Amino acid sequence: MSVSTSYRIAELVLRVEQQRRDGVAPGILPPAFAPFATVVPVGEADVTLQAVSEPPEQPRPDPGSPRCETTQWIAYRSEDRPVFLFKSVLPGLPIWRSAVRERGAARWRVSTAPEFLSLAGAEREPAALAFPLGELVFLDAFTERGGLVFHSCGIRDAGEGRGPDGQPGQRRGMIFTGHSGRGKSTIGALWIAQGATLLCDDRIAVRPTPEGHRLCGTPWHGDLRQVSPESGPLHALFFLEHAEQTQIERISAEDAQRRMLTTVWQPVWTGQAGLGALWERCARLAREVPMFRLRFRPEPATIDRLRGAMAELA
Amino acid sequence: MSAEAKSTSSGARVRHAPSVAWQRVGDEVVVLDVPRRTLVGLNGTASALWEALAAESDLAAGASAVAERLQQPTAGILDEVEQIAQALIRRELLQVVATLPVGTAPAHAAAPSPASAGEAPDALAGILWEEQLEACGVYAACAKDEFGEGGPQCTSSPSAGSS
Repeated sequence: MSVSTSYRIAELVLRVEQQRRDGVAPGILPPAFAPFATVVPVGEADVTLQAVSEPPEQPRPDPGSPRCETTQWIAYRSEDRPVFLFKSVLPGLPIWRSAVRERGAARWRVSTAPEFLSLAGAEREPAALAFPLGELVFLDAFTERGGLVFHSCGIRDAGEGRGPDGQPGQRRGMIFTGHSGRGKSTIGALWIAQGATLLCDDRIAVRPTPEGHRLCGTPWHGDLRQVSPESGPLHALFFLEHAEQTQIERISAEDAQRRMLTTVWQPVWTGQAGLGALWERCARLAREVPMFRLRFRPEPATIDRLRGAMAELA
Repeated sequence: MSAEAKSTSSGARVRHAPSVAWQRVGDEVVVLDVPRRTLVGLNGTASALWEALAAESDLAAGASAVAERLQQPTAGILDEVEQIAQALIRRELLQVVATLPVGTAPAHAAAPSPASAGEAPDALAGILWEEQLEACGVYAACAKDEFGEGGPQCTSSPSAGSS
């Protein structure tokens, strides 16, 4: 018996089919996932994860496969499909979970070691999309479909006034990107206080469309727990730095492209083909969306300055 | 010393390491060293050499391509090209596919040792800057929501195992 749940994140539908084990409570995800829950007919998900209790797979890496290892996971390619292994410090269980994508299909098999629960003293099955697997699978699928994911905070400002057609003013979509400690959550909190909608303060997805780029909220937040599945047109991207005085400086597309390489999440397991295409999309984004360096002091006046900069762009 | 870090000379055949990805950004080629999750920016000569070596090639041919691109005599840049190649091999961004027979390498092509951890990037010819990438799937959210440290989303964190 299995339980199915689906999440729509940046228009990408992830469906989880989790095997139930007698006497074991099903895994649950953080509350930030709740706004992204959706219902889709079987077969209409973009990505399906089949989660089972079995020894993790560790298929042989392809010769010359890019291999990346962090403190928590290992990524490589096997038979030209991505493989993720998840590390643990539990005695005798160096790998507690694997996720292997089927060849030529948007379907993953997620294998969790049966002894994980007893070794870890856990009371419930780890959710199939539990961190960090969900984020990695999303990054793989979303970037393969032409998207970008930034280490960033994203907001949609409240529309002001009315346009010439009498419709409410346009809501400005902005991304504030930077490494940890650069002020993503700080600027997000300032925007919330000024009535804007915070989409997420740590991971923002960008989707190219024929009408332009759109920014989309994700559930992978930072200090601020507020997230939103909303999306909207992207009007500007800012590279964050803390400073004594707020300064907003328009930068060239080339400068922005170079800066983006360090704040866009890179699906490193895709190698030159995948990363080259992703970097080309960064270049296009830098050409089509105004890019700024934002040195800011954490005070409400910074938001006024940003709104002024956006008004000048209009 | 790695096999790839053997002496280089203009006759050595080299190629990009399979574990890198790269892109030209303006005047620079930026190389992503996947295993180390590090971006490396190359200077003008190194960028030209990198692009010339996009297909496996010997260094002499690479130097000629660089000279043509920079509109300089090949002889005038050969030393610099060899120094850059050695630096990129030490940094494991380039691989040596084949070397000249023993004893035929020029005296100035000293065998490099692998770059040591923490070595300043400016110690390596051709490398302008390096920046370590943060890794997705590794961040502090585990300690930032009500699930707290050790929540189900943190089952692989070194300090927790589970639930």
